[in-house]
Amino acid sequence: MLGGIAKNGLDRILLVEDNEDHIEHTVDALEEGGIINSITVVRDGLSAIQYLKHEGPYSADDVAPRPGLILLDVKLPKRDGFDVLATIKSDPDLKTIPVIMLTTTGNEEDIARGAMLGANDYIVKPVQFDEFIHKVKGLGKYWALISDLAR
Amino acid sequence: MGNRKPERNEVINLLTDKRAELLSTWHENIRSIRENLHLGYLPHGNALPISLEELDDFLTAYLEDLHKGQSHQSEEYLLDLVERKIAAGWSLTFLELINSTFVNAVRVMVRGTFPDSFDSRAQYMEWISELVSRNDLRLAHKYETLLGKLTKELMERQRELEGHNAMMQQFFDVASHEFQAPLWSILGHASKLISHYSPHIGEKGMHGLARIQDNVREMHLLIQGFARLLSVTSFSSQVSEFSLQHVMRSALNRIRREMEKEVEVQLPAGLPRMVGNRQQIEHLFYELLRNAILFADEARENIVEVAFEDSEGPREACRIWVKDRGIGIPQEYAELVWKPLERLNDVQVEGLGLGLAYVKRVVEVHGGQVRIVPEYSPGTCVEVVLPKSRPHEHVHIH
Repeated sequence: MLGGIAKNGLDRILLVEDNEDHIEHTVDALEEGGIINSITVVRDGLSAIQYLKHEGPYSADDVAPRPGLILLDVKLPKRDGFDVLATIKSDPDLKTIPVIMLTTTGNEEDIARGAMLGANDYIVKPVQFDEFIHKVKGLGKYWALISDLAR
Repeated sequence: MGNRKPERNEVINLLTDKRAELLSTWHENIRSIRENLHLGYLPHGNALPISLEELDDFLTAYLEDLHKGQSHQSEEYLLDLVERKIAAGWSLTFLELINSTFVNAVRVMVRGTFPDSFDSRAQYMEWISELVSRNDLRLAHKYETLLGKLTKELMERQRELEGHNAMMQQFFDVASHEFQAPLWSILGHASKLISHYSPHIGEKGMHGLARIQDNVREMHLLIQGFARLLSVTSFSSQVSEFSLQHVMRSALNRIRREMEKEVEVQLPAGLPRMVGNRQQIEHLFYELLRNAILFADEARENIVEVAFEDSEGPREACRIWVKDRGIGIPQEYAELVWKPLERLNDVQVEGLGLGLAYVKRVVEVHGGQVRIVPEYSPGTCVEVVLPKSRPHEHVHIH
């Protein structure tokens, strides 16, 4: 199973997260989950949008390859997660990329708002850390497949 | 509007009827003010200087005086009384009630003119202006100003409280995220140390790490619990019609997913539909059922039972009982359990002391009541009364 995802065409995951510890934990969880794709991290909402639209620092060719999956934190500096999500889902070129929201609080309203804006799934950063690894593993594989079928 | 001079007895009967009506309106008023007082961190001031009992005493004494034919059946007397009470800092709502109900009634005796009822504030104003046109300017004016003043002050207090609540909730929405983020960082690091470095850390170190995890989880649940409690602000948000049967079942399913304890839960069939905040009501039963399951004692009968009674009437309500056969709650704690963070030392049940506070808050916002049924044995029986329809706005003038 290892490496299967990359072969499926999901060669890149974009992680939008500002908390350094959370970045470390998420990347570790992806690795432990056997998801060995290359991971690009951007640390605020504005950078995420610029990356996806090849704007600003990401305007040169090949600097920002299109991700097969986006992991998007809700609370972000500059433009928040919902803002980024809305931008992605209203852009005809970007809206087919699956987006998984990451939330710290598990606030039901946040989850509902994400779903309404077109998020494909969400992960609550849970109190049981093993659970997080488990979820990342499951969701990563599932969405990788969907993303592949959508191509 | 009728214009006859009624018999003295009629008036006394009318007032006696009004007494019950006043008591129930006052009860509703206390509830609506409490709703705004939230957890009690808002300034209480003299928002509730009079209890239901005090009101009852006042009304009873007043009626007795009337029976004895004593002399305060004059408008002057009541208006003076009301003014004296304002000076003494009595509740404005209460005074408004006396004003609108008793003064009207007394007018019947004095003057023989009394509208059968007021359907609206507009009709009431019409009545006032009729008085004015009969050259009764002084009294009408006095009465009107007083009522206006009372209403205005009451509205101001309401606004102030609502503002406080909104601010508090907003603060906590932001704060809860900021509190949770570092907790998750700590948990992640502790988990990784445990899973990858245990040979280096040793048994004692591993114990320390496990304790770190437990404490962080407790902190997480506390923040979550407070965020949930503070999110219940008013009935008006996200109201829909739903089936209590479905809500009860999905609450139970959630508990089943989370808990391993094997307890038989007997849910009745045919629970009615109600109007309210579905998410809140579901979590309310989640808390109650979860508590009951935790309380259920394997040494005794390991059963949790839900029963209900559905009543039809002008203000339809459904009465639901959640019963367990566990150790029970001592009578002296029956009130205390509803307070936030009140953990009872000699009751050995896990929990942070926010679940029942949440239950009470949701029930109150929905215009219902909740209590521990006294003398229930063996075990605990919680009774919840939930109006099935939306509580309506009151018109204070009858």
